[in-house]
This record gives sequence, structure tokens and C-alpha cells, in this order.
Amino acid sequence: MTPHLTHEQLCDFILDPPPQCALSTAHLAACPACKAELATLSASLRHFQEASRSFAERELARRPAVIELPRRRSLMAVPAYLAAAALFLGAVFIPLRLHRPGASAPPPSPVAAVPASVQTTESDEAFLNEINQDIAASVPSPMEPLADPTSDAAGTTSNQGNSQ
Amino acid sequence: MLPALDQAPPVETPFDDITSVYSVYEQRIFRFLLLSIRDRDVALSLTQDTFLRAWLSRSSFRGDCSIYTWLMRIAVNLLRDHTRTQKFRFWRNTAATAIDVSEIAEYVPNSESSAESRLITSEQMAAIWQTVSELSTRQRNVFLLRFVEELELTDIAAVTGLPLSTVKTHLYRALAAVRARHAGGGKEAP
Repeated sequence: MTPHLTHEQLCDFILDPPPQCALSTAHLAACPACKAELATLSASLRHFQEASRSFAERELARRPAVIELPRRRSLMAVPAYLAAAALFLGAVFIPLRLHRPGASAPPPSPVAAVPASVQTTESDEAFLNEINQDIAASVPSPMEPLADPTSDAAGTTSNQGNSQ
Repeated sequence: MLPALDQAPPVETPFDDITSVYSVYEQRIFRFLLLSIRDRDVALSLTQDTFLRAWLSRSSFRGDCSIYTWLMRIAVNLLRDHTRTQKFRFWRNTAATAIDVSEIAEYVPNSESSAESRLITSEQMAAIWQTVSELSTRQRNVFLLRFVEELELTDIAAVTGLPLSTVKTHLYRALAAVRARHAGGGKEAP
């Protein structure tokens, strides 16, 4: 009895269907083991092919819509874009106009502003005059002799004695 | 002003109408990429890249091979570039969209009569699926091109850029792994 087919010989029956070498074909017809092995391997590969194709077909059907090739935009899409642009511009510029500096606040009253500046000027001038007087004085005011606190009391006593 | 007489007119290629090419070959390109990389999102992205690159380089298509062979060659190159990246290697095992063996086993044809036969078929399918996942990238691509896409060996050689003898060697080794898994009851490959 001839030995079994080698792995390469068996694979050649799958990769390159007949015509094969006559010796291998004759052995395959006479050997149930090699015939069964070839049948099993062929069936497994065929099942793998069928299952793989079915699986890939289902996976392709599940693809997200964004993967599709871009199509021509419909005319209905243009007004939608224009409306979106108008809404965007309105949302940006209307608040800017409403909150423009000086537009919402009331104009300042000239009557109230002028006295404030005049008062500030007067107080500044008075302060400067006081400084000038202090500088011009021969003796600084903190070093001047204190007034006699008893002078008023003596005057009052003499007045009381004269009245009695 | 008259146009220059020596200026060659643009050559028309089948890829000028990329929409038609896409509708015809999308499913096959996606199927190959999905089964090879086993991630639906990545396969979809690479499918788009394949047709984009085909359209961008359409002027280099001279008709030496079929449209499908040319597209598949681009897909294989993109797949090789993608799997070389460190990022792919890091996320390969943690991808949320990765395909599990149990998913593919649901698509085993139920033409068998008995429940026992269907169970055996399902186990064989799972064994092949697992074996294919453990092949090298090049062996897996060659295996899928032959046994799922049913390309001739010469076309596989053209797609992968490998000699015909190397293609055969890859197929022998892949089938040896499948047979070993069968012999081991689907437990492990040699």
C-alpha cells in the first residue's frame, strides 16, 4: 500500500483543483483516511468562507451613516444654513448693541458734575494756602507757646471781685 | 492662444468614476480588511483610505491588472502600514470594536441536519477563526485572499508582491496550522 499523501500534496488538491498528478489522485480514491481528511478540511474552509462573508456583510450594513460618500447637497439645505447664520449673527450683535458703553447708562448731569469739580478745586486751594502759611510763619505752629489756661480764670475772678 | 500640440491629453481611468468603483468593490475590500484586522471601525476607515488613495493615484493605473487586484494591493499596503504602528499594537487587544470568536460562530451555515453536526461545524469554524488570528500578518492575508476572496495564486502574488512560491509556502503553513488545530480538537496550534 502506498503511503498517505503528504501535507503539500493534500493542500495542492485544495489550492489547485485537478488536474493533479495521477499518483496522488489514485491514492486519494483508494485511501479513505486521506479522502476523509481532504473532505473535512475542504468543508471547514468552505464554512469559514460562508460565515466570514455573512459576518462581513452584516458588519458593513451596520456602518455609521457618516461613512457614506458625500452626496450633492439638496437645495433645502441652503435656507437652513442661511437661517443658522442669521441666528448666529443675531445672537452675537444684538447683545453687543444692547450693552454698548454709554448707550444704556443715562447721560451724566452737568449740574451735579460741576459743583463736584469746583468743590475739589476750592479744597485744594485752601489746603495749599494753609501749607504756604505754615511755611511762611517764623515759628512753626507746633512750636508756638501754648496759651495760658489761667488767663481766662484770672479775668473771671477780678470781674467777680469788682462786682462785689 | 492655441494649446501646445505635444501636451498629452489626460488619460481616462476607471477610477475617474470613483462612485461606481466604490459601489462595486466596497464590500469585498471591507470584508478582507475586517477579517484581517478584526476591528470594524478600523476596517471602515481603511476601506475609505483605500478608495481615496486609489482616486488620488488613479493616473498611475495602467490596466496591467484588474481593478480589484489594484484596489486590493492598496488595501494590503495600508493594512501593513497600519499594523506596523505602535499605537495599533497597544490597542489591538483592548479595542472596543474588536471581533470575538463567538460573533463569527453565529454565522456558521446551518445546513447540517443534526444538532451534533451543527455543533461540530461550529467548533471547526471557531478553530479556523482562532488559527487564522494566530497567523502572521502576511500568512493571514494570503490565507484570506485565497480562501475567502477566492483569488488565484498568481493574483495573490500580484497583490502582495510576493513570489508565487512564497505565496504557496504561506498557504501550506497556514493550512498546516489549521490541520493541527483540527487534530488537536481545536485546543491549540503547533
